This record gives sequence, C-alpha cells and structure tokens, in this order.
Amino acid sequence: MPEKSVWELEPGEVRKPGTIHIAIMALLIGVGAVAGTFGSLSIPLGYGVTGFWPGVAVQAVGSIWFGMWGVIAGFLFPFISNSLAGAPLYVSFGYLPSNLIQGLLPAWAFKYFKADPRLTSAKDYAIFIVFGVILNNILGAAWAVTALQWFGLVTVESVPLFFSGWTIGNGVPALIFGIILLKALSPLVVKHRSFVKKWWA
Amino acid sequence: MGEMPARMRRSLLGYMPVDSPIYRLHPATRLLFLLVVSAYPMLIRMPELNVLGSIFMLILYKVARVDLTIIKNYKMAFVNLFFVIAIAYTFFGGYRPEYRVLAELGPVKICWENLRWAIVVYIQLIFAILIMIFFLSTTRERDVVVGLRALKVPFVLSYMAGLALRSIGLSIIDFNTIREAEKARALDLDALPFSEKVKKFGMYIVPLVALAIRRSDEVSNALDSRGFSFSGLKTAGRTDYILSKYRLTVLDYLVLVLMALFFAGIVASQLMGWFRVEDSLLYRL
Repeated sequence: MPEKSVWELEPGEVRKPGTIHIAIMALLIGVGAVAGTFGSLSIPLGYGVTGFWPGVAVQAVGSIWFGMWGVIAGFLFPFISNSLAGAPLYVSFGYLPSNLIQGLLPAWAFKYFKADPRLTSAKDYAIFIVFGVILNNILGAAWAVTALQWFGLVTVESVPLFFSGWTIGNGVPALIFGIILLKALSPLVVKHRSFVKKWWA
Repeated sequence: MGEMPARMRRSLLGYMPVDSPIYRLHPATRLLFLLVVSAYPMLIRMPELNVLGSIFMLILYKVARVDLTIIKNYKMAFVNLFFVIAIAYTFFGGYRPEYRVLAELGPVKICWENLRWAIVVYIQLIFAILIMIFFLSTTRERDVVVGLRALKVPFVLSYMAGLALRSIGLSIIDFNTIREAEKARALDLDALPFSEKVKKFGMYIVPLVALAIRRSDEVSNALDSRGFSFSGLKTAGRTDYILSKYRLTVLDYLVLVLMALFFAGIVASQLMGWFRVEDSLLYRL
C-alpha cells in the first residue's frame, strides 16, 4: 500500500489556525531576519540585493511547512533584515511581491504535486529545485529589478547584473540550505502541531 | 570623580539616553515619522533637497542624542553602495549620442549624464538610509507595539510584531550559543577564510529553526494559558495596559500636523512638477 501523503487529512481530523501558528510565524521572522541580515551584509550588491542570501531558505522551507504563516513571515522578515542592513524603507516595500512569490510558489507546488517535505523521492527533490530554487527566485528577481527600475535606482543596462545577482545569490543558498533544512527538520515538523496541511492550518 | 553615565535604554540598534528629547514623542508619532519622512527621498529626486534632508536628519540625531557611532557601523554599507551605484551607472548606464563622454575605457564610455544620475541616486539613498537608522536607533520593541496599538492595528498583528522583534534578539542569543559551542569544540572561526565563514553561517540556520520550532510550543502554551485568542483576550474587551502608559501630548499633535502638511507638500510638489531633478544645479553643469 502506498504511503499516505503528509498533506492528506486523517479521517475526522479538524484543523484550525491557532496561537501556535502566530508563534511560529513570529519566531520564523526572527530567524529569517538574523539569517537575512547576515546575508545582506556579507556580499552586498546594493539596494539590499546580495550575492548570498540564506534568508531565502527560510522563506521557501518555512512556507512549505507552515503554509500562509510561513509565506507571511517570509515577506515580512526581509523588511527587518534589509532595514538593519541599510536599505531604505521604500526599497523594502518594492521587494514585497518578490519575497511573497519566493515563499508562495514552493508552498503551492508541494501541496499541488503532493510532494513530501522530507524529500523521500526524486520527485520531491525535483519539485523543490524547480519551484523552490529556480522558478521562485527567477520570478522574484524579475519583480525586484522591475521595482528598482521603477524607483529609478537602476538603469535598463544594469538589469542583468542585478537580476543575476538576485537569482544566483538566492538560488545557491536556497538549494544548499533548503535541502539541508528539509532533510534535517521535516521529519520533526510534519509531526508537530504547527505543521500546516492546508493553507492556514 | 568622573561624571555619572546617563541612564540608557536599549533600542533596536543600540542604546539611547532615557531622557532623550525623542522620548517626549508618542511611539505612534515616531512610527508615522518613519512612514511620512520616508516618502520624501522616494518622491523627491532633486539632490539639493535630499542633501538638506540629510542635514536635517543629522541635526535630529544630535537633538535626539543618538550615538553617532551607529552611523559609523554603516560606513561600509555607504561605501559599498557608492561603488555599486557608480559601477552600475558608469559601466552599465547605457550610451546615447547626445551624452557627454568623460572617458573611454575600451568599449565602455563613461558619460557625465550617467555619472550625474549616479550622484542623484546616491544622495537620495543616503537620506533614506539615515531615516531608517534614526528610526531603528530610537525605537524599542515596545515602542513598535505601542505605536501599532495606538494606530488601532488589531491586537494579533501588534502582538505578532512585538514577538517577531523580540524573537530577533532570541535568535541572536541562540546564534551566539551555537558559536560558543563550536569554539568549545576548538573551531577557530577567525582562521577560516571568508567563504567558509559564509558557508558556516548558513549551517546555523538548521539549529536556529529547530530552536524556533521548539520555542513556538512554549510561546503558544503561554498564550493559551493566559487566555489569548486572535482577537485579544477570550473574555471581554481587554485593557491595553501598555498603551495606558502613553499619552499623546500637544507636542505630538504639533508634530503630526507638521508631518501632514509636509506630506501634502510633497504630494503637491509632485503633482505641480516642482523640485524636478532637471531643475537641480547638477543639470546646469
């Protein structure tokens, strides 16, 4: 008999958002802010764009585990980490959709394709790499450079520089730390009451 | 005998004297100050006005008695930003026949128009960053919660903001604990090359997230045992104890009115086409 998907509800199981989700979201913002600030300061490319941003792993993995709570945490903590690293408030606002998509897309893909966050098969790895490393960061980078251009902070000619900086700077840590996080902690998280099977609970 | 050091209060970015004039303002006023004043460098590009804004901020730092060494911590960020903008605009700034070429480095033409735009953007960002540093230097976690509650932001959001800011401090403590444990196992972090340090840092995410998950149970249990729900207390309307400790004063109302006028002025200037970057001295050179 094939193993049941972690996203499927048990018979009679009722799931509701609770204080645990508020707590995990707030704590995830804290972890993400620390990871993100370090990244923003380590190899800065300007305007909060960095050549190495481990915060993206918290965004992608947090959203896969904790649904919308992780998505919300994922688009709020860059506000703090960017501010601490010296990015203006309006630039952080401009990045909001990028940070939203970077968490939302892998969360949606894992639920839609019923992939296992414990990464038990090649399919799980493939879904994480496609939606949690490549596509989400490409879309995020595309929006970020559009926002920077809209604010008049970068020229059309420098778009490839910032686009590649964002995509690589996010993609590499998302790949390395995302997989490590999923492999190391998913077995624990899927059994934890904070784990979100639907979108909010 | 030396002078007694002033009593200090922890802020998000450092320490502030308890009797700093900035604390005469309600936290909500300070929160609005960040939002309103940040609109200035976002909308106004004219470098002269942004230089004036930066000078105004530095005066505010002085008046509020913010420790200016905090700005020094951002020295590298300012320098880096300068290089990034300069490179992005000079090497990737594009070229049009009407541009004035200052120098040619192989196929790259360094033009005055691109350099001018780099200066405009840099000055604009310096002002915006000074506003952000000022806010972080003068604000505590508690101020954010009080400010949000005073602005009628729902309890659950205010609480979450407070807990999120608090959890940054907790994560930093966890981070230091992990590093101390590594040192105790004879890991010499200073001897590691930069790339290894960066890689190592990434690895800290796993224990940090694990600790956050464990802590979420404690926080959630504490909330449940105190009878909290999404809307506040499960029983009748709760008293905002922390909010009752603050009052909006005449000074607050005065600052709020000035900010409203200031914001209206910025919007009007945009609609009327005043203070355009093309009117700046840089464009007459």
